[in-house]
Parts: sequence; C-alpha cells; structure tokens
Amino acid sequence: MKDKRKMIYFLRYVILIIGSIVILYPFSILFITAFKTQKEYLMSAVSLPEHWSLSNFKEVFESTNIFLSFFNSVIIMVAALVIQIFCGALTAYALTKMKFKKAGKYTILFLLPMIIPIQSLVIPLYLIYTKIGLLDTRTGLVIIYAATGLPLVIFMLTSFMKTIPIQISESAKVEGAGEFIIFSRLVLPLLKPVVATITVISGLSIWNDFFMPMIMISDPDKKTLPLKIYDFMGQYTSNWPLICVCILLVIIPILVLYCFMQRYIIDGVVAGSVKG
Amino acid sequence: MNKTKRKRLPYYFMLPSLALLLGVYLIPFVYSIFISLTDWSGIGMDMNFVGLGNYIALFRENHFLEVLRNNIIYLIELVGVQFVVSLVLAAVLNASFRGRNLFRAVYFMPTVICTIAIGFIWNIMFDPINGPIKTILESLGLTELSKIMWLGNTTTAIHAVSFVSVWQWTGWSMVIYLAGMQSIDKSLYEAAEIDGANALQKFFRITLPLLAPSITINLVNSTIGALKIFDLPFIMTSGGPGHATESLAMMMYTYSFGLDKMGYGTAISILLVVVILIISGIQTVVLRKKEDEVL
Repeated sequence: MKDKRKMIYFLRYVILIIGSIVILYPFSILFITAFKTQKEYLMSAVSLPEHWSLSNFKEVFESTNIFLSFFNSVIIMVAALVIQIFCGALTAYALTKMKFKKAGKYTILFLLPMIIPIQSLVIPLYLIYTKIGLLDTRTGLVIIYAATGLPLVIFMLTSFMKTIPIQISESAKVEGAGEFIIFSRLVLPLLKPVVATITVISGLSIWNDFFMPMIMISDPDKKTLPLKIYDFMGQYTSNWPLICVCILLVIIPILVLYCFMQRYIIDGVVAGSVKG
Repeated sequence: MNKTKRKRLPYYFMLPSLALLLGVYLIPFVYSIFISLTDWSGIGMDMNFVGLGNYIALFRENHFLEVLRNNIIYLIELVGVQFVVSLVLAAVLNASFRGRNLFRAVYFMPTVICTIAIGFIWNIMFDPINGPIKTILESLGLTELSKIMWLGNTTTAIHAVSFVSVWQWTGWSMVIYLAGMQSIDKSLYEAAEIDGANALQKFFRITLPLLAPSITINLVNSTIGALKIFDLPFIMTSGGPGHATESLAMMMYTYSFGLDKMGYGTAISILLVVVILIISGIQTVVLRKKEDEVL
C-alpha cells in the first residue's frame, strides 16, 4: 500500500513536469531566439546565442514605436472597461432594484448578444463605421469592445446585486435621496469584487484581440499591440530574431503581471465562467 | 417626482446599454442579413437583390465545402482533445501536494498571451529547416518523422494548427474542471472507499457526473471557439497549403475584404452565426438534461 502511494506520488510529478516542459519550452525558444543574430538562428534554432547582446532590441526600438502601441492598447482597454462597468451597473441596478414589470424580459434580452460572435458582424460594422467616420479611430474600437463585453458584465452584476440586501436602497429612499445618488454613492462602491473579476476576463479578451483592430485600424499611430506584432511580421519576414524581440516586448508586461497576480487572474476566470 | 417620471426611470438607467447593443449588435445584424441577399461588391452603388442566391452558390462551391470540412475537423479536435487533456490534468492536480499552484499557473499561462504571438512561436517550433521539433525528432533517431513539414502539407497542417490551439486553451478548461472538482463533497469519496471502490471507479462514478455543470461550460466555450477560429490559422498558415487550414471566419474575411464580394462574405458570416446557434443550442439542451439527471 505504501509503495503504491509512493508510485502515485512519483507518477503525478512525472506527468506534471512533462506537461510543464511542453508549455514552457516554446517560450524558452522565443527567449533565446530574441538574442541571436540572424545567422545564428539559421544555423540552429535550439542552440544558445553566442553573445547575449541587446543589439536586436536596439534595432526594434529604433525601427518601431512600440510604446505608442502599448499606450493605445492600454487606453482602449481602460476606456472600454469603464464604459462596460458603468453601463452594466446602471442596467443591473434597474433590473434588480427598481421594481418594474418587464424586468425579467429585459434580463433575457440583455443576454441574447452573447450567442452572436462579433466577428460575424464585422462587415456591417466596417461599412457603418466608414459612413459615420469611426473607421480608423480608437473611439470606434472602444465602442465595439464596450458592447461585446456588456452582456456578460450585465449578467455578472445582476447576479451580484441580487445578493445586496434591498433595505439599503429602501432606507436611503426614505431619506429622500434620488435613485441615481443611491446608485452612485451606495451601490457602486459595493461592486469592487465583481469589478475585479470583470476586469480580468473582459480586459484579457480586449487586450489580446487581433481581429477587430486588423479590420478597423490602418493608421500606424493607432495600432494596438497584437496588430503591431502582425505588422512587424510583415516587415521583417526573413528576420525571425527581430520578430521574437517584438513579441517578447509585447508579452513581458502581461507575463510579469501574471506572475504576481496569477491566483487572482485564475480565480477571476473561474468565477466569471461558472456564472456565465 | 411625479408618477410617469418614476415609471420611466428604469428605462433611463438601461438606456446606455440598450443604445450600445442596438448599435453594435442589432443594426449590424439586420444590415448584414440584407447585404447577404445582394450581389454587392462593397464599393459603389451597384447592388442587385439576388435572394438566397449567395447561399445557394456557396453550397455549390468546392472551396466552401472544403472550408466547412476544415471547421468540422477543428470542432472535433479542439473540443474532444481539449476535453480529455484538461480533465486528466485537472484530476492529477486535484490533490494537495507541493508545487500544485505553480503547475496550475504554468498550464494556464498560454491563455493570457495573444494568439498572434502564440502562432508565431509555434511557427518557429515547426520550422521545417532547423526548427526545434525537427531537431528533437532527429536526436531521438526518428529520421522519418523529422522530415515531415508539419505546416507545409495538406494532411498534417490542420492537425498541427489544432494542436497549438489545444496547447493554448487547455489550461483554461483545466482550471474550471479543477474548481468543479474541489467543490465536490469529500465524504462521497470516503463512502465509496469504504464500499471498496478503486480510483477509476471513483472518477467515473462520482467525479465525472458531478462535474456536469463545468463540462457544459467548457464544451460550449470550446465549441464556439472552434467554430469562429481565425487568428491561429491566419498567422501560422494563412489558410494554406491550398485551403487545407482555412476556416469559415477566414473565408468570410477573404471574400469581403480581399475579393470585394461583400454579399458573398456576409452570407458566410450569417451561416457562421446559424451554425454556432444550432450546435451550441443543442449542446446546452442535451448537457443541461444530463445535469438534471445527475443532480
């Protein structure tokens, strides 16, 4: 029995370590390739670079403005999240705390868009954006992202607000506060835990999206990070070490963030998926 | 505040959300159904109503049927393989031992990185001249296997792309299964042990049935992901060789923006929505039924 326990213990680590190598090895190849010269890469993709020189990084910084793309990505994500959470909270408040007849019907209505992938609407969106001048603007992307995340946000906020005791709003009403004041002063601050979950799930999908900016954005000054990588791939088709540098620069911030917050990020994903 | 104002108040609160969803979902959806019934190129005013002509033409075209077949392969591989692998990993992780959180974090890591980057990293891995996979196979003495150009021939390319997608998203399903497993009452296992059940019996008789809600979530998620797959084949193979890895979303993109056939392109996107609705609808109904039987 004891031997069997030991065997299982041992086997578990073997499986998990092999799995981890399968996950981590490609990243290590990315890392070493970023420091290689083109010649070294062509000789062998697996060998270590002869000198750990930063000349590739210098070249990338000189040829492209990666900070601008980083700024664009941050601005677009933050703006979309703020709109999502504000509109979502208002709606969830109306659906759960303001008694009106059709609340149930509206709750379902707000969930419907979840089943339509936004990719399938990209052509009409593109055409409408061309007409109203939102094509090739950050605002245009913000509006699309705010809307695509909204159904999930409304759903999560509604299920959370149901757990807030109604007495809060009732007693405030007696004192004569308007609904909007009750909402902004009393309800909004209570939403912190759900807002954290939303930021993780919705934020990740906005941050990593490639399809929308590829269709909507052509001005190099407005490109987001995933689009920047794609541009870079087109520009340096033959020089893979330089592309690796670009990718490394793009993924390092998110990896650092992940290292420190992985528990919250994973918990957020689980909470959001199980409810959604 | 008078009475009618009070009645309208909830609608004012919902107005911003309604406006957003109307503008980004409803109007474009109606608009795209309309375009799909025309032969519009996307440029100029020349537009004729062709009824269901675009849809009929699609199903007569070999290119479309090949792409449809590709999407079915993506669907089977992404949903099936990911289900098995993530469930096994979750089962292995579902115990208390040193380094458990570290392993969980490692497996989840690829999901936080953009798919464009993942696709390029794997293009290096699959590099047919001196890529790591070729080198590893050579050093293991598998010279025949090492000569295969994984992304370069029509038989292996789609499976290679599927593999990378599973590699990226397995951690996502895994953490959901793991959370589900941890919410199962420990006393059930103790009772089963007293009855003399072995580990496999416990897994199939207790763990799996009680995981039904997590299974529903993951299967529906990965189904939608497989049906709308775009980024990964776009970066890794651009749909090639030939059309061997092209997906519906990619074909929609090429027709609308590359070949100036908006009517045709939107018809594909409407079909994509219909397919997703049907498949995920069936899944939800069937799986919910199973959930009810268990609980």
